[in-house]
Amino acid sequence: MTWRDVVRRDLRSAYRSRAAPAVAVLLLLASVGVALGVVGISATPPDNSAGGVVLGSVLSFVVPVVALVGSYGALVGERTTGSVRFLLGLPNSRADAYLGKYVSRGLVVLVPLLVGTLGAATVVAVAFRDGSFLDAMVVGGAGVPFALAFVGLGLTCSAIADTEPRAVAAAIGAFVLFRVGWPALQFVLLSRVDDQYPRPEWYFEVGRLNPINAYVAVTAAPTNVEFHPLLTRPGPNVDSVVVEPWFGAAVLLAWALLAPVGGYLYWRRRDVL
Amino acid sequence: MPSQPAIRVDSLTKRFGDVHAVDDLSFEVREGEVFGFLGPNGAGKSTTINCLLDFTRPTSGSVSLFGLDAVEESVAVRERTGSLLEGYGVYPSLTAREHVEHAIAVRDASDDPGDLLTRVGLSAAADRRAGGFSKGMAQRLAIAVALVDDPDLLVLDEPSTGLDPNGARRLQNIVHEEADRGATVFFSSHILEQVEAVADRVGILLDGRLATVGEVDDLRTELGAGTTLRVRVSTVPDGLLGDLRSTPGVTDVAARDGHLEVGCEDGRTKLDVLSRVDTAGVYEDFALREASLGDVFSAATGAGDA
Repeated sequence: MTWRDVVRRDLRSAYRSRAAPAVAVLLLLASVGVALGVVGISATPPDNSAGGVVLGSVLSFVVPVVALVGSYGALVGERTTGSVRFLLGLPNSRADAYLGKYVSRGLVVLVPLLVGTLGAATVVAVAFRDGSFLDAMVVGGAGVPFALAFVGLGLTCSAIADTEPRAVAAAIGAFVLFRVGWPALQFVLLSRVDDQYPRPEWYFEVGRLNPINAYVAVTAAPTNVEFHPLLTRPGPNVDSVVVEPWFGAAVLLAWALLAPVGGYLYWRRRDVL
Repeated sequence: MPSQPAIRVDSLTKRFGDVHAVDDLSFEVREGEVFGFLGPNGAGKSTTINCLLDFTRPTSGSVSLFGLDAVEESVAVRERTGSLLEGYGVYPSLTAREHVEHAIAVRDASDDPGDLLTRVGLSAAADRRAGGFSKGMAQRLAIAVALVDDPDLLVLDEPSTGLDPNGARRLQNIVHEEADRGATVFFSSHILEQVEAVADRVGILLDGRLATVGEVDDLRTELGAGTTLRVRVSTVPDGLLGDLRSTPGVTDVAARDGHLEVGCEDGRTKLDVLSRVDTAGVYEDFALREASLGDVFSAATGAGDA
């Protein structure tokens, strides 16, 4: 098992190439930077619930982007530059190479995400009205499977694509699918229904399977805000488990586990040259 | 066969779409020998090598190294194999030393990175990032990585690409040293002189098929690329060329630049040729030229006998 060596080597490259530091800066700005910004623009201390809503909304956009950007080139890049001859010329199994890349690119995103959300939660606890450190840390905690899901998707794109442009296209496609395509599908389906309010149960059942939607739902759960810019509040007609916070968490975990698997199944059998 | 071959390729076929990159290829490389794998660009050399190391999976047929299946037991194969492959890329932000250290860590070996870099002539650049390396320097680095942990097999695909004459000579010495240590060396190239300088046996690959395989001397004979007798003559009298062509053992006769070039199968033929030229009264001097691997290669690839 040599995946740890692959992790060490890959992390060193990622930090020296400045890609990993760039990811870290973006995530720190999107977490602790945003929390400080909310305090800065508010005349009075912002409410605790604003912490979860704003941080969850911003990170629901930033985390998938940086996770995909940080992982789409992990394997196809080695093939196009020729360093795969180094990576797999050594006695690394395909599984070691894949796992090593997954762990390395996962750490590149998770470490600054957790540091940033710890800082943001501290800001919430200190400077927000009734600020709760733990409520705000849900944003970071749920961010772990959320980020791993998109690192896994990026890695899957990287394992299957034959060229970097194709991997980029696949990664952009994945982001657009979850950010735009999935909600669009919900609305298209909704347009075929006569009575659109309150939203029917299936609307939530379809929506919560989307990892972005699940993440936002989990981050909003502790403060249970009345109005959320990215979330439809279920009416009294909805009595499904899918709107429970734990279901959102389970969806995130499932995505985190399944997203890298497809890429691996292809990667272990493919011609790498 | 007493010992397991280092490499056994059995009916290997690899297709990319409609293209047969390798077509029903079979050969063996014995343990401890230096095997030269020759062929023009596009003949399928790199595809074959990629199948040895599981970068590419065979369409059909099988490949084994030291009795280990190249696909199912690839990690065990690569534990015993050091490789330098064509199109090798370095990690630009890592130093040469870090590349070698990584290889030592993965192989769980105890080599000294400095010693290996000195051996390939890269010690002065050991702590420079490889992103700024020339092609030749990257190639030296790749050789150092391939030598980690004294592998039982060295697979070198066009290893002299980008090397200056010093580097090429150093590579040749390394191949000799590794062979003396008992390693098997599989060396592919389209530069014949380099293979000739190091190889015990050669295989010539053409259009994905093995055109011929054997020891260099045997190939010379087998392909009729024997010794050429070069006779300086005062003039070329009428009838002499025809006379020589009809001499038993003569394979080829040509006249150019005041010389006759006569391909001879054996020593008796050479003597006959010289005495016939002498009888014609035009003899001045003679020289012998052994067929190079280049001649063998030309003969095998049908590139003409000129």
